This record gives sequence, C-alpha cells and structure tokens, in this order.
Amino acid sequence: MLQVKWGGGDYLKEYNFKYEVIGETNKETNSDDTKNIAKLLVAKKVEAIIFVGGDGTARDVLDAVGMNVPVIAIPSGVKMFSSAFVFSANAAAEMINTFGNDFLEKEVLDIDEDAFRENILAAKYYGTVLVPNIEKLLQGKKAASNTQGRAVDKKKEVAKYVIEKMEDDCLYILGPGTTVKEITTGLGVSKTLLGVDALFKHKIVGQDVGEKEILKLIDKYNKVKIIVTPIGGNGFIFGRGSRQISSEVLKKVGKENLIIVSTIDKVGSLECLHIDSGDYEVDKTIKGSINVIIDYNEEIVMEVVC
Amino acid sequence: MIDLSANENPYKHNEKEFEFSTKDLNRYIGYREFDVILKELSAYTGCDKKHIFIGPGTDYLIQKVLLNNHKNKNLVILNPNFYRFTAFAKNLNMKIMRIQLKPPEFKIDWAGMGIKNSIIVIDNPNNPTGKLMINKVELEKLLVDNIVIIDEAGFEYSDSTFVDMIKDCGNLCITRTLDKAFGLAGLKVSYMIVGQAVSEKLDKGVDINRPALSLSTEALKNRKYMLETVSNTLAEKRILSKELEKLGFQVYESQANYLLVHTEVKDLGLKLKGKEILIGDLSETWLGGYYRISVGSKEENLQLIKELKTLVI
Repeated sequence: MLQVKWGGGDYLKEYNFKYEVIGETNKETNSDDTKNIAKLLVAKKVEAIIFVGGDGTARDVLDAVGMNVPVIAIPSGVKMFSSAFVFSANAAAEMINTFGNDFLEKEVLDIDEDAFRENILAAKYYGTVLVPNIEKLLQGKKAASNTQGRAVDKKKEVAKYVIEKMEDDCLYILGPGTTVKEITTGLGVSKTLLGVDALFKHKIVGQDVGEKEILKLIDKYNKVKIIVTPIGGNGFIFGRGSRQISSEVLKKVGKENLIIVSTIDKVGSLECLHIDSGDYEVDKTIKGSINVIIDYNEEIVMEVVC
Repeated sequence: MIDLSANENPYKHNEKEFEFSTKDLNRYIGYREFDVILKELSAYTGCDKKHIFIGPGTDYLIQKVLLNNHKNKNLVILNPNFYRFTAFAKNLNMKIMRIQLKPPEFKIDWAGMGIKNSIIVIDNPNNPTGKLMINKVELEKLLVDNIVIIDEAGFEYSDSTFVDMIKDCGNLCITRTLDKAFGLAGLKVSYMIVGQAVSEKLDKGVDINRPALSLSTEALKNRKYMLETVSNTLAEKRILSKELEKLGFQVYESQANYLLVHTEVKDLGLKLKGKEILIGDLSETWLGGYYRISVGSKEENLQLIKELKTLVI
C-alpha cells in the first residue's frame, strides 16, 4: 500500500484489515505514482492488483504490470471503456471473493483522440491485462460506432422519431454519443459529442453541463426528460461516459422520463443494458425492462441490470 | 458445400415418392381441387378445414393477418428473428416492438410486459434458440387483449402445439410449414390455422401453384419420409449436441432441428465457410459468439465435427 498524506492505509485502519505500507508520498499523486506503486506490488509478488480508476489509470497499471499479475479494475473515472473493468464495485467484490487460478486476457482502451476530433466516437486499443475469468462480471469492450451506410440512416430515423415526439414544455437533457447528437443535427442546433447538453423548445439552453448545472435546470423546468444512448459493446446507459447525469439527477427525473435511443446493430448485440450511477438504490429503480428507440416507430425491449 | 445454415431437412426425397402430372398446368386451380389439401391438413392437424389457410411461405400468411388487422395495433416480435414481414408492417404504419432474447434462459416475462392492442408473433420453438417461449396460461392471458400468432414451424420436432386452443380462441393463429419436417423447402408451402375472429377477416384464396399443391398433398398423404427424417434428426441432434459439448461449445437445449451454440472461437462462421461448411452466424445480427447449427445428416454432422476439431483443439 502506498502511504500518501491521507491514503489507503488510513482507510484500511478503519476496517481491521491486515496491511503493509510499501511506499510513501506527501505530494499530490500523479500517473507516475500509479506506475511506481504497481511496480512495487509486482516486486512484492502479490497475487492480484485491485485498482480503482478510469482508462488512464488502467493504462498506467498496464505500463507497469503488463501481464505479470492479474488485475481487478474497479471503474471510477471519466472514461471507462476498457473491457478489463468489472461493471460495478459489487461485481468487483464478487470477483475478489471467487478469485481463483483461471484468467482471461482483456483489453485496455481509450478514446481515439484523432477520431474524436473528426466527431467519431471510437475506442483505441492500448494493451492487454490479465483478469480473473468470471466473464459475466466484466464489461464488454467499447465497439466503435458504425459511421457508414445503414447505421447513419437509422440514426437519422431515430432522431426524426424522437423530434416528432418532443414536447414544447419539456426540458431535454441530452447525453453523449453520435446517436443523440443526430437529434440536435436534425434540429439544426449544435451539441457536444461527449458532453451533456440541455435542450428546450428545440434550442440549446445548456452546453457541456455538469451535475450541478443539470440539477439547477431540473429545478427551473417543471418537466424534464433525459435522452441517452447505451455505450456500444458494454451497454452502459448511466455510470460510464456521462457521470454528470448522476444518481441525484436520475432520482429527480425518474425512470418514466428516460428516453433511450440506439441503432439495432448496437443494442441488438447486447445481452442487456447496465447502470452503475454510484447509488445502488437509484439503480434498482431503473433496472428491469426498458424500451429503446431503434428506428422510426420501432423499439426494442431490453433488460437493465445493475 | 455442406449447408447447415437454414434449418432445412438434410434428407433427399426418393424420386419415386412423388407423382406429378403436367396435364392441367394450363389451368388455374379450382376450389374443389384445393379442397383436397385442406382435407389432408384437417386430418393432419385435427382442426376443421374452415380454420385452415394455405400460402407460399409463413411470411405471406402473417402479412395476410397484418393487412386485415393492423388498425391501431402494434406488432410485437422477438429479437433476433428471421422474418421478412417487418417492412410490410412498417408500410402499414404499425409500431414495431422487438423483445431482446437474453441468455442463458431466453425467457420472456409475458405478464410483466403488459402488452395490449398488438399482434404478437412468437416462434415456438424459437428460432434461433430452439426454446419453447410461452406456455398455455401465458398465451391465454395475452389473447385477452391481442392477436397472437404462434409460429410452429418446428412442430414436428418439438411435438408441442397450441392447436387445441383454436376453437375457443378467436384471436389465435398458428402457422406451420412443409419446408422443414416434410422436406419441401423448395416448394415453400405453409399453412395457418386461424381462430374464428381473425379468420372472418381473411379471404380464402388459392394462393399456391399447381405443382406445390400436388406435391404437398402427396407429402401429407404419405408421411413416411416426414416421420423417418424427424426421428433421424432428433437422434442426430442428441449425438451432435454431445460432440459439440466435448469440443467446449456451450450448447443450449433445443426443441427444434437446430442447435444454438456459443463459443469463444473467433470468426467460427467464416472459418467453417473456408472449409465448405455453412452455419448460421448470429454474431453480426445478435450476440457475439453465438451460432445456429442445423442438424444435418450423419455424414454432414461427422464432417462438421471433424473440421471443428481442427479449429478448436
């Protein structure tokens, strides 16, 4: 355990865990600290490294550890598209409890910044780590949005359908992704690709808004709906890529005001949708069947799992 | 090429099995002639012939129901499915609702869905999972507010049917086909047993051609081929299932003439195609790693296993 000013050791004291402090630092931690501690853990011949973070942390751990030691990656960051991540902290706990000798190779990814500049949401392969073989507890890897041919046409049809159903007295909070962006393109207004924006009477009233701004907007407008698209490959609708739409936001808006949009090739390749808003009680109110708009006048019923 | 991709009957017909005269090919089929096949189907299904409609394929028959009953109704189908009538339904301005099938059980909570004012199409056994998707109690509840079409294309393999409900359930339709167990995919003849309320809206035209009528009637009269090939396929299915499991495939229990399998072997469909074997690849249209394998003849199945061994071991 790396001892920082108020670090992991202090947390563990509260829970009667046996632990050993193997390094210390007083300065604000950065990427190098992650790599250093990971290397120290490998030198200590640990059975597994459990880390909490996003794709950036996963890359640092991979740089330091490679495939020498299995990892359990608990998602808690801005971008968490790597298939190495378990889909929630509860799942990580189960993985730790059932830890054995069977391991899988899983990818560490990050958003392809070049593609992003071209307004394409695509994931870039970075490397491979070893994870315990409990397939169901892992996220699928982020699949690139299909930007050619039919998928684009279908997104337009989805957008056309959503626009037709839009109500003038309702504020729409728009999540990230190319499918949601097609709605604003259809309306002739501009939206951020990875940010969360707010729309009222077909006009943007909030761009790249954070959680606090969203909560303020919810208080200001009587009627609010959230439009999001699942992340391709892993099916998260909340808890990955759009942390701004927090559990508090979801609590206020409610399941009945969620509009999920996708193309059939993306959502049809998912067993189910996932939610990990950070508040398990809120997630439970959203789990179960939910309709996803996949074309003009066409929906698919998916199961949301938390 | 060994084709195990389309759930067809792998066994060839004996040429002497069928007699077909060309003498009336210049004539349309009269109702009296058509009545012969209706009587045969009535005897085969145990349903009055007034409930039976015949057409060139199951899609055609379902479209007939949609055309005459679509007003203010949604279309509910399972995902994935292999039907072609969804475009037709869209042209009728029907809202389409798909229900995603989820492993490992592929079960649907029909009561929890709260489906109303819809035409629901359920393939039972389901294609591609081979599972039975609904029971009698669930079906009775759905029929209160909906028209339900049960596609029993695999009836002869599953031996499971809701035909006995037809006389009491006006909103129930059951489609079957001679494509599979009767080995007549090349003729494309299907039939539909329809409850009173729906059948009143359907016209009873003669929608198949003379060769199809003649050969289908023969096949229904002499069911030896059907009974033998179904028995062979069920026996082969058990063997194939065990062999696939030995090779590390996850094989789902199937009530049909095909098996749904899951494997970690990448691009299995493409790799087998390179070895002159076609299977149903569901990776592109549904879930990654899932394939549907039709149960072939003994020789075809042995060849499949032989090639699979080179890919997975």
